[in-house]
Amino acid sequence: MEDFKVIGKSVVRLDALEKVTGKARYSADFRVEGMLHASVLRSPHASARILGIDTSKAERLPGVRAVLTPDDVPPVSISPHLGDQYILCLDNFVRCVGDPVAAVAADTVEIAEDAVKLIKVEYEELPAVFDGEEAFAKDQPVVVHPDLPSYKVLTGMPIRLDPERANVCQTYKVRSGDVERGFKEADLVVENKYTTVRMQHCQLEPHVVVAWFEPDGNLTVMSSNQMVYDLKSVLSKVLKLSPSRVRVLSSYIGGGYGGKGGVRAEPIAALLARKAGKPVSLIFTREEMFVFGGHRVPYSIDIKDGVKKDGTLTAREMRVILAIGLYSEKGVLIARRAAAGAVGTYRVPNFKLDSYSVYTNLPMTGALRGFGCPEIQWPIEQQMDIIAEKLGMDPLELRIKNILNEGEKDASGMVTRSIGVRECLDKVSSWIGWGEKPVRPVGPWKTGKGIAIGNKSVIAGSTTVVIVKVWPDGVIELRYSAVELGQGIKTTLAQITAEQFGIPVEQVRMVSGDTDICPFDFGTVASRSLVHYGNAIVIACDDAKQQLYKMAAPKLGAWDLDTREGRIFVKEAPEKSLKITELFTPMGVPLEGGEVLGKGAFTGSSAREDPETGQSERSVFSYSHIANAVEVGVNTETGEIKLLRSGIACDVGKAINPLIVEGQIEGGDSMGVGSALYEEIVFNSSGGVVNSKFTDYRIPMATDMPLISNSKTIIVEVAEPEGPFGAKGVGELSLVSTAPAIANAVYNAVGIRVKDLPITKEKVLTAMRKSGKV
Amino acid sequence: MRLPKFDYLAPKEVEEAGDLLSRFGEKAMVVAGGTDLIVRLRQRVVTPRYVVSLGFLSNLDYIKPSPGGGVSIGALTRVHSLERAESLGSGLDVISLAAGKLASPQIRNAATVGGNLCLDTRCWFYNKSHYWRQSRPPCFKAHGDVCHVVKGGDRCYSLFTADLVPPLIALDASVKIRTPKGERTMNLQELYSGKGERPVNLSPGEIITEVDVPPAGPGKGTVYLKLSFRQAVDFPVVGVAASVSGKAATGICENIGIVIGAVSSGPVRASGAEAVIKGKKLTPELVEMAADAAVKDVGVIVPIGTTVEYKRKMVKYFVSQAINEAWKAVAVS
Ligand SMILES: Cc1cc2nc3c(=O)[nH]c(=O)nc-3n(C[C@H](O)[C@H](O)[C@H](O)COP(=O)(O)OP(=O)(O)OC[C@H]3O[C@@H](n4cnc5c(N)ncnc54)[C@H](O)[C@@H]3O)c2cc1C
Ligand code: SF4
Repeated sequence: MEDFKVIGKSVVRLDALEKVTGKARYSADFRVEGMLHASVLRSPHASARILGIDTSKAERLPGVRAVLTPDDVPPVSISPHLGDQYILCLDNFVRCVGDPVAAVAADTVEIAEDAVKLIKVEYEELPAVFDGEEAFAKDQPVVVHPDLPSYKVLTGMPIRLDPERANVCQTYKVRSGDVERGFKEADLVVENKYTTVRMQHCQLEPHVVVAWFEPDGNLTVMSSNQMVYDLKSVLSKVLKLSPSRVRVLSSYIGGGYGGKGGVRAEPIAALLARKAGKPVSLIFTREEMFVFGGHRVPYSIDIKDGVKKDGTLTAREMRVILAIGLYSEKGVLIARRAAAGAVGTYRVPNFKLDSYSVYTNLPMTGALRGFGCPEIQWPIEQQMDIIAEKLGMDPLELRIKNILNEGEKDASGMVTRSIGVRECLDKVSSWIGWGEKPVRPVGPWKTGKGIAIGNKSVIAGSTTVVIVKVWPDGVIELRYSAVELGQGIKTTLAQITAEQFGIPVEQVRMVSGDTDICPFDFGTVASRSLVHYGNAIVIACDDAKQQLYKMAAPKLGAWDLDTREGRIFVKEAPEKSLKITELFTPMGVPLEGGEVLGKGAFTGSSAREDPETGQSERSVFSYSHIANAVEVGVNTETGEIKLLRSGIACDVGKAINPLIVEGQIEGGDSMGVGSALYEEIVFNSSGGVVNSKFTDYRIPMATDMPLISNSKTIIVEVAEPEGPFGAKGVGELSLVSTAPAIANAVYNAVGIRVKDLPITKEKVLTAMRKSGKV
Repeated sequence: MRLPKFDYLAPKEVEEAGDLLSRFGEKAMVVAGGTDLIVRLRQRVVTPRYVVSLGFLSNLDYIKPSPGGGVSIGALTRVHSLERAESLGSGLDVISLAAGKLASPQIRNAATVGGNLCLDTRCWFYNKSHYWRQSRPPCFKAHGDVCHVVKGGDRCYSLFTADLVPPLIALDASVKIRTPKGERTMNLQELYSGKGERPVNLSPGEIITEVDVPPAGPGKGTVYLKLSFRQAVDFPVVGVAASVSGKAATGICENIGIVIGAVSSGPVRASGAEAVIKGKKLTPELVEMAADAAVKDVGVIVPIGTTVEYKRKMVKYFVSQAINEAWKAVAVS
């Protein structure tokens, strides 16, 4: 065990003081001289052709500075993978309630909102399709994008359509072994259907952007985006500006959860700024967030499992339909990533998965903490319990029996390594007292326990670059482009940097939030920041250190040097040392090279994937693992569910800052509770979001979580060989298996199984009445 | 969503408030804690020219014991103060308990008793932004002629969800109303029209100044049970108050009041259920019959937030629970 100075310590977050004192600045605190305010007109119809737009009244309203209509919008897609989305509705068709149709920039938000109401749009209403399975059918009632076959494919990611299904914009396959044989070998086959629903991220801060053109014609954008370089590239494409002329700024972000990983508000603000010749700010309203801020993709999953009497899984077959809504955005990628969740935990010798991204006339979906993985564990982890019961086995034992071993190939062809799920499972099950009776039920309440496990991977093949600068006083500056959205990345990266130079965190200066000075990063998404930044920082620090050592070596008369606490010393003879300051002139210029700048770039390894079988030696960069054990009370008269005790263990490889990791775990777990019990975007019969506010869309409150004394957060550290200090991602991991654990506990308490999220009181009560069990 | 434009007036005396309100009539609305009105203003559900704040009328913020063990509560008393009140009087603590079930501590700090009594009815097709509502024709509550909840319905079915009202009615509370001509008092039950379009029987210019709760008297037990979807910050799915008096020794229920909230456009007095029980010895069978009668008393249930079947089951269950628990309180008193 290496002896670290700051790594593995819960140092106080660098942003703590400014946040608790209310001084931290967010994008909406940002003001630019002459700034206008924008508001967006959105479609009231789920499917319609725009026959005409009359903006004359809006333009005449005093204070209005620019009105944007589809005619002003370049025919360039802002969707990352497939050319199906323009800044304002595509080709004069609206495809969901909420599709942006026009926008106004005015002196005040009030004027902009009033002006939007004055825009007259004439629509010809068209039929729409809302249900994913209906849209998926070969005789689908409506084709959402009739021109789909001619849409451009924009990235290296393969897009495979289905010639027989006109609404399918992505298909993805995994094949390993022979499932038919596997089912033949099985003593028991269990087949079920499960569904998940749309959720909203509910970040405290909505989408915020301020865009303006500099006197030289360059564009600057201040945005709450999680993927600053992606945004830069989209803006440069749609505005036909060299990427060198687009600058993206960012400050603290009030929560992202994947929802801010796409472009929503930015291009609208930029085009309005160009048209008005003034800076434009656009802040989504809460209602806009609920309607067009992105939703978790609703899944409908058919799953069939084959298992031997002794509990050995022989085969698993899954068909997953992702009803992604009107634009492909990340929906085509989630169809692929969901597969990783399905193969990363269990040994399944014969495996088959088909997933389909399907268009519907509902709003956009996209990344929401977990990127398809919680949705995939929802069926799998309930299946495991169903199988265990049918075989008369302990669900814990069944899981342990089928967990992948170190060194084994998983169903996608990747060799398993650093799999800590067994340890997680052991720890939570012993904490909850697995096998012992649950707390004594009172009155109409029945109690039960449940477990579930899962995984979340870090994306393969993405790149992060950092620059490290050494200041004459020994302060080390890190220039990076990850955004701080509450997850603590700023502090964690400062710790890694500090460790490299053997200095306290206070001696590190963190510079971020400006693409003019901070280098490329794929994005603060996919639980990838720590592993990619950690590796890049180590490389950059080594580079900077070599430059220092080159200057120090002649003075110290030795080449084998190291650094600590602002001094450089000879490894063999530490008493021979000098201060870093001594390598600079009194003016602060290094003795050689003008500046000490270290560069570090890291690209996570990846390997080609076979398109027919999904087989790849490296389909993901790394896997983190989780286990949940919960105890619930279920009210047999009302269907209410109370979470009485909750234990959660996460294998994160290495906790660089344990308190931050615990924060990520507990925050994610409560989000998982929301997904399990309450959260669902409800639509009316014409495709409008009914519960577009917090009184109607319920997220969990402190009162919905068990008392602190009845909760346990456990960090497990099984090192990832290619992760910095063994670390793997944690951000999305923590809610992957909360919902199935609760579902399993409900079953344990009252003998009913809810297969469709969320597990509402009504569903529980109805199922109990039907089953006649209580 | 921003607030629409209006003139904000902040009178210091009740008289002045009354004058302003009579002068501006329909064009003015009063705001107390604002926890309900501000939301409706932002959504442009209401668009008054004038908003008259009662927040500076400090002499309406009080909890005073009244002779005989009752209590008088000023309309501007914060819900939080009610929750924290040492004792409101023998048998009246249910009011504090009900107050503690409303929304969240933050909201209770701002919310007033008067505002709760005058809480408008709610419906998830109506309590929505302007943008959302404009995509459909205006409904009855918005002076139109359709209902989006009950297709083919001929009136508004929005729900009355104020948590303090069922227990206060069960305790026979009355309200003092300041009118342009003077003052009048009415039974709290009479304050409610039962009509979703206009649920509170107040004319423009009238404000509530006080709630009076008579002494509970010995041998009376009152409870308020609330089911909501989430354990905090949530309106009731159903709220049932039951006030039972009787003698533990005989087991006979001499008097009973059952009031149900969140099932209709006004608080529902379950008189059918009361009749089943009044003057009889309480048995599980009788309670069950009363609960069935309560479901009949409620009548039409509409699918706002829940299915009709679920709500019906919950009415039945919570009425029987409330009667039982209220009786338990009688038994220990
Ligand atoms: C998130 C959230 C959750 C909530 N949860 C609950 C809940 O669980 N239970 C519940 O009952 N309520 C709930 N409410 C509604 C509201 O907070 C309470 O009903 C509160 O008591 C209203 O009081 P107020 O003083 O804030 O009313 P205001 O908003 O000031 O006024 C409400 C209405 O009453 C009128 N009014 C106010 N005072 C008087 C008076 N003295 N005379 C005549 N008219 C008057 C106003 O004109 C207005 O129409 C919730 C609100 C929110 C925002
Ligand atoms: S119940 Fe009332 S508010 Fe709701 S849609 Fe019908 S008329 Fe409108």
